[in-house]
Amino acid sequence: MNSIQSRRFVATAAGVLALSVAGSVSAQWAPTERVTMVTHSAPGTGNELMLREIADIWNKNKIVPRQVGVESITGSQGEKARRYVTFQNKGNPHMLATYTPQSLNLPMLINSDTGWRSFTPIALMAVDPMLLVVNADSPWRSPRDLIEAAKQKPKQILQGGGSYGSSASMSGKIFEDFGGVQFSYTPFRGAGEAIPQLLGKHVHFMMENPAEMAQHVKSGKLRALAATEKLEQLPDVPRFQDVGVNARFPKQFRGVMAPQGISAEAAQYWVQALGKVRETQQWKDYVARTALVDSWTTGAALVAFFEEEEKTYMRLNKEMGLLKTPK
Amino acid sequence: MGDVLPLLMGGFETALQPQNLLFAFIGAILGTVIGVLPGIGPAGALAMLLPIVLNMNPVGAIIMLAALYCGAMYGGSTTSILLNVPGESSSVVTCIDGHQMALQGRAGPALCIAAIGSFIAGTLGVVALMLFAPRIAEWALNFGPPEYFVLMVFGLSSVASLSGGSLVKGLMAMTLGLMISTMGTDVTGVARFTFGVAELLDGIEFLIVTIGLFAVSEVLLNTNELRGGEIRSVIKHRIFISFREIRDSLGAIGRGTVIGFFVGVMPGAGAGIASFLSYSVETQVSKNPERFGHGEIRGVAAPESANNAASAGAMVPMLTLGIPGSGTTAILLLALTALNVHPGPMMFSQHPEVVWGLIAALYVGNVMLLVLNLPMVGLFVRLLYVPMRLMLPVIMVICVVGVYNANQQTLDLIFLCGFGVLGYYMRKNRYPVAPVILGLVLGTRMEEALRQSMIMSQGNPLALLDRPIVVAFLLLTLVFLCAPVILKRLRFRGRKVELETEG
Repeated sequence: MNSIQSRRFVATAAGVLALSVAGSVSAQWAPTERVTMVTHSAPGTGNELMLREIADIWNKNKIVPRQVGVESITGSQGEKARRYVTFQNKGNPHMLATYTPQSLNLPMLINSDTGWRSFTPIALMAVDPMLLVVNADSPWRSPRDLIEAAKQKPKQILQGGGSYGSSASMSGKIFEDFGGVQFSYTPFRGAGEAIPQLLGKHVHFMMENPAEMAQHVKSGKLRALAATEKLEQLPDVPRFQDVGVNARFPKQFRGVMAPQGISAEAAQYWVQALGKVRETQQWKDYVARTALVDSWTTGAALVAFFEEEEKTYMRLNKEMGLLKTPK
Repeated sequence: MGDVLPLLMGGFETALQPQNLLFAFIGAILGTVIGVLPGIGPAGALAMLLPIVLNMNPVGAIIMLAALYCGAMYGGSTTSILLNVPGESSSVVTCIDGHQMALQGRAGPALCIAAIGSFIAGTLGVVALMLFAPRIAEWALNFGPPEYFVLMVFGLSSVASLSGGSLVKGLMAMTLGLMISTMGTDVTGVARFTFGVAELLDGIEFLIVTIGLFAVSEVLLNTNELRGGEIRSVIKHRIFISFREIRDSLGAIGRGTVIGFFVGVMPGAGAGIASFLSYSVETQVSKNPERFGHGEIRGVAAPESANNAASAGAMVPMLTLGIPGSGTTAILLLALTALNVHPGPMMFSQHPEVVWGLIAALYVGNVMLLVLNLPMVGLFVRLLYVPMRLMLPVIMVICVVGVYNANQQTLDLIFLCGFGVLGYYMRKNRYPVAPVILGLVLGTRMEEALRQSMIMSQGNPLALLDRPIVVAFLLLTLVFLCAPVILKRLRFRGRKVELETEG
């Protein structure tokens, strides 16, 4: 327990350090060896492809003077990658890692010391929009209809999605709280396995990224009722606030973190290098192609954002009974 | 059918270009080699090749991956038969009769029937994929969590045919497998039996248990025999299969194909379950069920056909819904997505060249494997002439490297040894080890499906019985469990009557 405490302390110190440099002038540090970007997701998945894109842009445009490579360390719910980055590579300025809501929430759920405070926050690059869909044969035409249905039949309207604690389940909870009703959340192994269940009418609705669902909406099997953002792919889908659902859904963000204990100059260097990525046409094309929403948060604002998200997740974890009491 | 032919021809045109044939050839060879190594199954093989393939042209990449997939699927059977070392879940069942055949000097026919069965099932599977994919995908949507649950229950009933002598010992072994399957993070995100160890969050990987229980225990058993001065007499091995053996196996291959394809279509069910089920069905329909477990050729033909048909079946949800049916198709799907081809309902119209290229590549891959592997049977059988004292260390090294390579965790190696010792004592005391794998493969999915079903019905188990598929599978399970007992009774009574009339 002692070691965990001290690690937390170091981490917070690093966070404060990163904070203080955010406003300072140009960085004096530059990479002197090969740079590795680590993701906890498998090759070919969204996060890994994003890192590949960033690495490609850096290498091609010589934004970063050394070769940049991508490494995928899967397993143990991302815990392996997190440990590798922030403990085994503590103080290594030549390493970066992807950061997602799962990376933020899982350490809380399993009471691990790899929380966001044990990393050096660099930047938030993009946000995945979230889409509310039902089967096209169902009678529901707006989020309000679903709430009405749940009022008629409490707990009998089923939401499908990834595991408890995923941002889909959190969004469902917030939707419940907004409507003052109760749905039943049915967890599957990721959105991919939940979609056939929605197509086969075994569950009633889903709240997930458009990536896997958009084509089923386009082919007319599923109906999208609302989204957190205006989508280029599905221009007819209204935003939640447009249909009167004013709830704050957790953001499906894609961030970049560095290991704890790197110098303030190095942190600042990576913020600038990522900032340059956003200016390239290749990045703009990538964001458009993958239906991401461009987003940019760094420094103090990023720390504040993580604090806010942490609070939201903590509250939801407690309300959903997911949190184990620390021993 | 009319509009399918020209598209398929177009696909063949692509697949048969010299460059693409070369890709298919490389894929098939690599796949077979990788499949032979225990520890690296088809999914692992694809994952390893993925970074390389991502820089190739999409069609070539997909052809290579498809051939690799077929190859790895086939390669797994070789070590199962020759060394009793299964490389993946789908070749565990092949060990049971396959290795017995090898011990009796019939390694050649066993390998041949595995190749022929794989070829026929693979080819028929692709035909079914080509003709009925959208319709079958539609049908598979009827499978909700309750249906998955009873499918898994039905799968568990095959423990009866895997237990050999004692059903009680088989059930104990299966329970152990079910217990191991509860380790790790469950579907609701709660970590169970992880003892605060981060490496256990994913549970104990199925691969470690399989290789430990089968391969490491095999090494230990053989070492024991060597030290005891027992020298296994060198058996003259027959290399080629007789026409009669092929004719006898055709029924098993056909049934294996049908079962494999339909189980493969269900996302998440997978080739492992298909092979267990087909073996179980074979023992039920056979006139001589007592021969299974003692080198029955149908016991090799059925599961090997089933796992290849399942891999074709797993393509159905991937191509039509954009949903992977297995770990391997998940990686294939990633490859396609990374190449900017998005499988799903629009794929047949948006990227016909890729779909039909893939289908043609699967045909080509299957033919190539048969042509490559039949002549190799003679070579592979020679492995059995390598003295045990040289062979055992090699097997051990391959196992350790294979397991370590999967996750790069030293803890896995400790588990490997643990399961090796456990397997040794189980086999010494005549406990069957295959049911452990059965429990492990089915357990996680079964529990998940049950919990999902209970959420759906607000905790009312009787609500499951409203669904016709559920009832059908439950009845089938009942038949499978009771049939052997009843048949035995009937036969016994028949004989008794005869005796009486004689007396």
